[in-house]
Amino acid sequence: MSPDLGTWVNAICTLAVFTVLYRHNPVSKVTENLYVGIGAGYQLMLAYETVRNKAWIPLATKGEAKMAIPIVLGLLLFTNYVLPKAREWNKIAIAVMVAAGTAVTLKGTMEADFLGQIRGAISVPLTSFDAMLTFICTVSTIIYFLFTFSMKGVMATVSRLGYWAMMVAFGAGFGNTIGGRFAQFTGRMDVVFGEWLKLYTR
Amino acid sequence: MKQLPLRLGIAICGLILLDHFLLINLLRNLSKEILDYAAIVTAFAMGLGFVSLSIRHYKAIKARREGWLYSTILVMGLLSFPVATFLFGGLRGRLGMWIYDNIYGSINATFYSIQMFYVCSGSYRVFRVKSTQAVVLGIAAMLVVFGRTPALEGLWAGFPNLADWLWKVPGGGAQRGIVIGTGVGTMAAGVRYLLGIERSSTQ
Amino acid sequence: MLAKLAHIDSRVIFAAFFIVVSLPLIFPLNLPLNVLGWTRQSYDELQKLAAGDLVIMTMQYSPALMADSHPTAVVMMKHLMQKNVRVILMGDTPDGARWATLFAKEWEGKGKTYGVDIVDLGFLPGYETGLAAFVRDIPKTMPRDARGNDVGSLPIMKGIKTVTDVKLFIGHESGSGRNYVRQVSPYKIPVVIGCMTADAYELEPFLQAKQIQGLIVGLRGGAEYEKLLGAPGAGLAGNDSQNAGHLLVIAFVILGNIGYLAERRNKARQGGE
Repeated sequence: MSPDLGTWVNAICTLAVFTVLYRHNPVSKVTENLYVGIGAGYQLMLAYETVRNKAWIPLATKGEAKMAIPIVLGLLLFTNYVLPKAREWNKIAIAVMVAAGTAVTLKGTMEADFLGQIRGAISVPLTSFDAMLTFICTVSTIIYFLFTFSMKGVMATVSRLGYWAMMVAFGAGFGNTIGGRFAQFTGRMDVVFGEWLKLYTR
Repeated sequence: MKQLPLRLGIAICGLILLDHFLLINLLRNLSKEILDYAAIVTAFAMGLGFVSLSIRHYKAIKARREGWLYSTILVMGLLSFPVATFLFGGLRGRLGMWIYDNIYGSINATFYSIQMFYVCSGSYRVFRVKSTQAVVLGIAAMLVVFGRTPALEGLWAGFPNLADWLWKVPGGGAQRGIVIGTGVGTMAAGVRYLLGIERSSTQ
Repeated sequence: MLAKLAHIDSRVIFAAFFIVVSLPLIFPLNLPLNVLGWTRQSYDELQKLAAGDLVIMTMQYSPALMADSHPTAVVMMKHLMQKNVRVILMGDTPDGARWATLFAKEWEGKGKTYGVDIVDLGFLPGYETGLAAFVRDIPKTMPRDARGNDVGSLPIMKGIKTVTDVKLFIGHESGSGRNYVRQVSPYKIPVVIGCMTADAYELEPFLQAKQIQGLIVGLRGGAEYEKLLGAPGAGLAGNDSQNAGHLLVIAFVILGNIGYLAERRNKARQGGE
């Protein structure tokens, strides 16, 4: 067994969480609350570091007065707790975050998800069975999502083909996902069997 | 005041988008500044969770509500990193990293690893020959699992290639269609925000 | 009797998986592993790099998802260091920043010079918004590294302004790989993504459309990369467990269907009577 306290704590926390598989119990509840608390504390310290490095230090030591703007905006988020009468002001900060995020996502989506994928779909010459089938599955899936008008005749058939293509895609995706889950479990068992109980070394 | 957040949001969104299409230095610089500010404001938002949890659980402990002992543990967790950061060598100091690796990281990883059990148990219950859709879904999933299991190549060496084909051809085609579809949806949501129709974040 | 196979208790299933997936860790089976095209493509992309080239490597994954993604990050870092490529490390999530710090410390201990061969820029706040700002102006978005140094004073950061100043962008994602496609790919520099197994499906169309140049999928991808590099590690070690687990899934699905069909037959017989 490992003599290291950290390894013991690591393994005990791991086994404590696994008890939830049998049923919810005080041990698993303790680990849940510890996890939520430590996570929030860690995020707070990272946030503190970010604000200090990116805004406070340029403002206080380099005299960049414009960095007061994000600091003030950020502080507005806390009006709900500090100045409830002025809580409407936090919407300004939220608006800045949402607007910037929306613009960035919109730009990126236009280029990558929309134009990039369409380019990818039409740039492959339809000279092989695989290329033709991929193209047909792409088009039929897009048609499946057309809800503006009801599908009749040929369009209904193509839409149905899209439905089945998605079934295959979701099945294949799920089959792939199963493997990923094993990886997470073996990682934890590595800690319990390998590092704590020392049943093997790598 | 009520309209200010919405109008400010539309202006910022429009400005950053315009920068994408027009090569004007002033727009570029302004857009960069705004993105920087937004990133800093997001950092403040990370602190909101701490404040909200602290107040809620402090009240629970003070009033000795049901589960107040768990709230005490949560508050101890909340204070662990600030104490480690300011008193014991900083965020990346020995104590901070010890707590992160051995407690937070361990619990975090184990909660996710539990998914293995539920995914596998779910596979057992879902992949049954109940309907045509279930059969298609199940066969596609099982063929991919077969392909990702080298131990089964003794049965038929073509499993990996078949799994790859399923993944890339029909699966890839359909997934591309889904990406384009969701892309259109995302753009529509963005345009709604730009036109001031989407107001949920400012009301 | 056979119909009971359709209703196996969840806890029995859990126990079976617990034992079957854990045992190969203690008693390795050394099962073979084929290298898929995705991994080879990514490996070839890194092989194109020359000594002194500059690369950005960012991590998103948390400890929760470490087992799926970390082996890939470790082996790619090893590959980059073997080729004497200079690496800018960072995390675009709070958890990701931790790995950047670990890698920087680890390779500093193995003879690399901090600030010349590697740098740890720490946490990039703002998620996709932050990434959008970062790729346009790196020194302004990250004025200080994780150790508090002014990035302008570090030799590795000299002359770096935008993401086009690096030869390759590597992102180890955990759910937001599309951020890299949306924000980095438009700058036309090669992008390689190490992704979680569950996200490969979503990112595959971008690889096919050549918006990204490489995709390494989960623990298996990490194992394949280790095999290509000749550097066995956690990836190859977990391969046996993954195989055993897959076989048990197949077995349970078959049992479940046998039970279901038996149950249906029994109901049909009872209905006939």
